[in-house]
Amino acid sequence: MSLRALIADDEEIQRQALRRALASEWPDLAIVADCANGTDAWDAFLEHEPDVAFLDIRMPGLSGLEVAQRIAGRAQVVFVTAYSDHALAAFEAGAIDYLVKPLDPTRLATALARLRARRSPAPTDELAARLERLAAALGTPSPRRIEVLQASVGREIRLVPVDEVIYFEADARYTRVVHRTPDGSGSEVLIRTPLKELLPQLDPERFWQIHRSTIVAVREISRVEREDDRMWALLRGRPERLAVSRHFQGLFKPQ
Amino acid sequence: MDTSPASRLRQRYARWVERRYERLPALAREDAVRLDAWLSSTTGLGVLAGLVVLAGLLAWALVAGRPDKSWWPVFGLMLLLVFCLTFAGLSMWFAHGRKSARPARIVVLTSLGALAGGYLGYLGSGLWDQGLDLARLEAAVTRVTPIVAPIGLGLAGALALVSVLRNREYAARARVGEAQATAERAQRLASEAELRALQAQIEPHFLFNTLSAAQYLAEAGDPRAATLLAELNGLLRNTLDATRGTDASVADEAQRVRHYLAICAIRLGPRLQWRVSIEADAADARLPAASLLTLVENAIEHGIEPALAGGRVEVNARVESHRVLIEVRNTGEPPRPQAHPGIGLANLRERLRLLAGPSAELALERRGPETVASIHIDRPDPDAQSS
Repeated sequence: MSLRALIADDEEIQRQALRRALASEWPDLAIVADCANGTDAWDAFLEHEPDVAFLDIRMPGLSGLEVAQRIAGRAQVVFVTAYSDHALAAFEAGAIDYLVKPLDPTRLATALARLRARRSPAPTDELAARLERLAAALGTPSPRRIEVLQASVGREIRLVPVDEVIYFEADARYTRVVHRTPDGSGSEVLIRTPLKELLPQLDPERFWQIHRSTIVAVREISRVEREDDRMWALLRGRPERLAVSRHFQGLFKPQ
Repeated sequence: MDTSPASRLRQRYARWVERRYERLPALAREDAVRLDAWLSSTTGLGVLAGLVVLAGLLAWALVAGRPDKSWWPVFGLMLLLVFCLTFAGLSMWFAHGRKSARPARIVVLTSLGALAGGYLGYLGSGLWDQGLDLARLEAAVTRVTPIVAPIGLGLAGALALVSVLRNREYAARARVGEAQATAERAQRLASEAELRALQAQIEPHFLFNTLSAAQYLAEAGDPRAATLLAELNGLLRNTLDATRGTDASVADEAQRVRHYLAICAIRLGPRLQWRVSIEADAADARLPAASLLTLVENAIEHGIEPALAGGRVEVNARVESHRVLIEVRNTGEPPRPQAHPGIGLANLRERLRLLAGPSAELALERRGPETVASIHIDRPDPDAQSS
């Protein structure tokens, strides 16, 4: 079975260049997703579960590095970056696969051969540490966090502090926000920002993505239940059972 | 105003001598001017008078007890001798570095000259009553040599000493001057290098990304390859020109920015719209070289590129209430608080004030959906543009 790949770069020309180069150097690699930003790339990863992800570093939404951190070893990651001393040194030091733009056929062939020879990605913990060091070396800016959500309800705009959110759920092109109200009961609003675009603006310590279409406030989860290879998250004082997809089941591990 | 004959003479001398001084090397000129000042001072005049007295004393010493010799011609000769020696010394002083100022040469020539002078003087003084024959020649050598040779050697030694001291002093001063000049040059080069580093605006990341795009477009036979390379060529050329000066006109800066934005537009595709409009009366204002490019790069890098949907960049320059206003507006992501807030901006602000004075302003603010970087400078004075 041929391997499947995702490519992500905010410049269309660079994506085409990579496609073309891959087509000639690795003809049986199937490109299953072609993304113009980091949030799309992460969403496409969850959707297609590719074996390899070629990621540009500087992308809107999530950076290539952030996408790699989320992929966390579930696929081989190759960074594609334009030349800069600083970055290359960091990649070398971190033993991280990378390609340099403009793509050079010889070096591309070497990098791809190394990639094919390696059966599985590095152990998760070690990879996380490497990516952490790379992030520090590249000096990526601190991500922007959203504090208040604004939802139009009828003729008014309702403000919902992120702190009061219980969970977010993708709903077609909208996001359903289930939140607490001052009287303790729950309520919900629809916002226009798609879930995948909301994700980079939320603190990953406080909000866990547990499914491609669900992000939940960690403190609202009371327990998780397993059924064979499926998992459900149960909420405090609420009846919902939220599905935890396979990718995110690793978040829950007894200490 | 002093119009005495003496001062008029001094002024005339000053004018005459100035033209001659111009031909001297800097160090010698310095000395000559000092000597002039000294000679016209009381001390200098005193020393001149002293030399005359010295000549008088020498003449008196030679004539004393010999009533057959008259006093005046001897005094005249002594005067000549004293001044000749003084000027010989001075010319040694100013003949630094020439062949005539080499100590060995001075000793030999001065001694020989003194001897020759002595012989000729002896022979000449007896020419009238005793004629010239072999006996006279012999007498000249035997009687003059023991007296003149030591005097000549002494004088020669003194002159040679003057020359040696002078050469040494000159070399020391020249070394100091050279060291100063080197230090100044090093400093100038350092600040120029700093400036150029600041102006080396084209970061490798941008350059290689652009080349990567151009390479692919060319391979794919896409006509945008040629456009991209032409714009890159324009940008590089313009930036290279900018590294030769510390400032540039708004029109030149705008041209550079057009190249840059045209490249970004090809690369970012529909995610970037842009417009540059420069009004004629603002086009001549001077900006620190590559400053407008820095603002536009920031707009792209921190505004448009991080925005999922991209945005619009507008560059305007116009005159508003007697000041030139240059704006770079973008509708991308708002500037985010950074760990090191605006080092680049602070740097640019400093360069702007160095160039355009303390009234120059640089501000970055969010106005509704736009991030606006604005520069205010005083309008250039049209009369000041004579060159």
